[in-house]
Amino acid sequence: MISSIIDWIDDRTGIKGLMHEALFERIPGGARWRYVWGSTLMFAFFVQAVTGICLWMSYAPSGQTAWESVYYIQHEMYGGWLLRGIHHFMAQTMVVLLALHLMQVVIDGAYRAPREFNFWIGLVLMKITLGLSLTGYLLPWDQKGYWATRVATNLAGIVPIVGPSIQKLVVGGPDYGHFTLTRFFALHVGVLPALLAMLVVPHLLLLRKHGLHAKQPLRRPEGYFWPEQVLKDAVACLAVLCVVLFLVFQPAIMGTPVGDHPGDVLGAHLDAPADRANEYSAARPEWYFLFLFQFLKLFEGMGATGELIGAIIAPGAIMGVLFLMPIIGNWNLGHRFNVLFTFVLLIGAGLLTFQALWDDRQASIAASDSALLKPLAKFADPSSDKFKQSQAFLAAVDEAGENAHRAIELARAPRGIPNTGLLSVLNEDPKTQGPRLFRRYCGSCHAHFDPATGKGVALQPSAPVDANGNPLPNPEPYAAPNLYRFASREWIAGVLDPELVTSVHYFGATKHKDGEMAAFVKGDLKPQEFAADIKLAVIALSAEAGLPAQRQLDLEDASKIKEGQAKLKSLGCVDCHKFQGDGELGTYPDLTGYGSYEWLKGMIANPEHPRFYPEGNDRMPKFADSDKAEDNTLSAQNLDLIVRWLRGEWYEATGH
Amino acid sequence: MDDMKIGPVQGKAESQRSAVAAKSAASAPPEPRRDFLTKAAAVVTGGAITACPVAAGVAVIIDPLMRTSGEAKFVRVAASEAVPNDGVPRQFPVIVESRDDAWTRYVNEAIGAVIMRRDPSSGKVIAWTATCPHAGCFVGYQSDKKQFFCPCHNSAFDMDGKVLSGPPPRDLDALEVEEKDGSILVKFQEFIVGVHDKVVKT
Repeated sequence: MISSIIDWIDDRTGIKGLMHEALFERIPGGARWRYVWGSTLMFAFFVQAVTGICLWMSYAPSGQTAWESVYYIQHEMYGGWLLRGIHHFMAQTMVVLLALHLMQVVIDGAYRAPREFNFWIGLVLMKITLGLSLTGYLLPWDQKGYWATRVATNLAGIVPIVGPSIQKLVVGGPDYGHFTLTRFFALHVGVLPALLAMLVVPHLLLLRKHGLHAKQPLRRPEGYFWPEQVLKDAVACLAVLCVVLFLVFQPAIMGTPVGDHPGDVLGAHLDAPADRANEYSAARPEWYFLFLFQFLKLFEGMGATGELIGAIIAPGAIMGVLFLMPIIGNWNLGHRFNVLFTFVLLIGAGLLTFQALWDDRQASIAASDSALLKPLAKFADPSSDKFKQSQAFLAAVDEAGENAHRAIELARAPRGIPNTGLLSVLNEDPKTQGPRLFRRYCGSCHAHFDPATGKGVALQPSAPVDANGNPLPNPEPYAAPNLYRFASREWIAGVLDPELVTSVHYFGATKHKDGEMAAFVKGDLKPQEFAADIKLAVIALSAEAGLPAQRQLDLEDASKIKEGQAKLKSLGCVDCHKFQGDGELGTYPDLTGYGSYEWLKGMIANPEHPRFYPEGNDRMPKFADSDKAEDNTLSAQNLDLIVRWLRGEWYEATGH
Repeated sequence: MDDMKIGPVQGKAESQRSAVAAKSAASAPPEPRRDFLTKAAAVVTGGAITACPVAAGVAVIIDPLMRTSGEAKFVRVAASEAVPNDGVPRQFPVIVESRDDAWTRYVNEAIGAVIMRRDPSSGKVIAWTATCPHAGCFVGYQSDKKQFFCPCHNSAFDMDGKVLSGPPPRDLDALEVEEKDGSILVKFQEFIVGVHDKVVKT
């Protein structure tokens, strides 16, 4: 029955002959492992097409939806992390397979007549695959892809004459936006795969026309593609798939626990959404483009010419030599030149990649305990500039990791992702914006770091400099208090500590160092004698702030707060400060509501307001004292964000 | 006779074969050689039907080339007191009332960043775009070295924006500054990066 159906079809199509021709391709010298690379690449392309089309079904390219849809695939959709993980890691594996295939073809001299055209088609296929990598890197619209791809498209702009137009066409306008995504997407899922498929057909047909280029000497009698070579190819593809799956599951294999959301741990990483206002300085291209990135650094100090050579001319010349290989191969020693060239190229790329990784990561390698990395540690010089740059890179990577984590936390928050995209949520998030705003507006005087660990968003501010940027010989003290956990019990206890009050964490570098408060703490307060009273006063004053982190403590200590409020009076605080019904305004800050949202907002807006330092303000600017919004240094929104950040007032996911 | 008898039979087979040959020759007319007009018409028609959709597509693809951003305007970037007199540089976002990205209008959006410092002797504000002229990353201020630094390719600039080290083809791009009524206004422009000359992006 089945055979008669096959015969019926065969009469009309000749399918038996085609199958026979496809399967019983002669292989001189029999099946060998070295012939598997082409098949593994076909397999990789097949996997990319299948996973890519499935990703496409859930992806929406636009400024407000690209990151959001990828987030949904990766972190919420059933198995989305697996699909995206396979697509992501297979893309990387494909680049390795390309290099292996190219090496095998060059070493075997398989580019020689009559196979020149097939070699050229192969090189074009390689460029298309790299193009797919480049365009795919942008599509998640996360910080990493956005900033790394910007560098790549900016390089297109340096091509003489047509460069700026090419750049504008690719980017879809003068700057990155919706059209960059839609264009990259069209290239990634339409133009480039279509070109690839169209060229793979002649690549395979020509392979069949010329027959397989057998490696001499032939070891065994002639064999056939089916089944020996097919089995070898299938085993190789299985190995490729295993590598990819290993990469997807690597964190779990290495012991990271996987919770309810496997996509948070497994598969491809997703950074915070692209934000054109906040550059991700540690953005790097995918690892297989790192050698080009590093190569550019070799042309330091040569200006625009060096840039043109490094980014356009040298890579173009290398591609040119690759294209000429079939012709060079005909010359005396030509084949040896080709093999040598390929090896030099791969080793050079390998060294450049290593150099790039080393430059960025030497600080972490130096601190590593791994037996593999330890021997390298002695090459790192902690006093060198490169080491400091590496530390800055790693800090930026850490910060990006925190931002990514926060973005996912907010995407999952009850508010969800609004139709304006997650970036609009991040822009209103004190935890995300606080450190940026603090560094910009407060960080040149105030520090914000944990004195115990030395870690924080703003370390001690820099010393002032003269017109040429040299430090002034006798700089005036230039550091205002460290605002880390401002108005918390620990912070207030520090102000009342004779050892700490004139340290740089408090008044040490301001004129208040010689003021009445410092004198009072060091003199009349008598911390030994009144230790218990001071402790209660601290609890009471800190409760005025109503800090979210202390809410539970404040509730438990309600009676102590009551006692402490009385102590604030008996200790003499109200001699200079106003507190509730006692004391007067006019010299020193109001202690009523000290550190509360309203208090902080008022203080930052206008420190010279009667409620704060009408006379004794030491250089703190009025950030928002005008009724006209445009005259204020800080906008109302930024002021709100800074205050809420200082107070630790932001959404936190619970139950983790 | 035998010969004679065989002959017509052979002859019949031959004539049958030649008839088949003649028939097939008649069914396949000779390849055309001279009908230039037909060829020209086929090529023109084929070309036209191909060109129409391609042209429609290309027109839309090159749409961005047909648009130029208008002349840059002065934008208020900061209050005067936000740039200190001691020469320490500060970085500020450049916020415009609105920015259009294709179909989306963003309101009060940061379109870039500027670095400003006040010359301590003359009191004049100098402003640069924070975009590195090399590959378009953002430069930052390194207070310990008193220099501007771009982390992408380790480029450094001195306090006057001059290249100290690294691959940049030109110095930091200075912007036009106006200071009036307690505000600092900057004519914010973007420039093509990676080339020697400072050319405004349009």
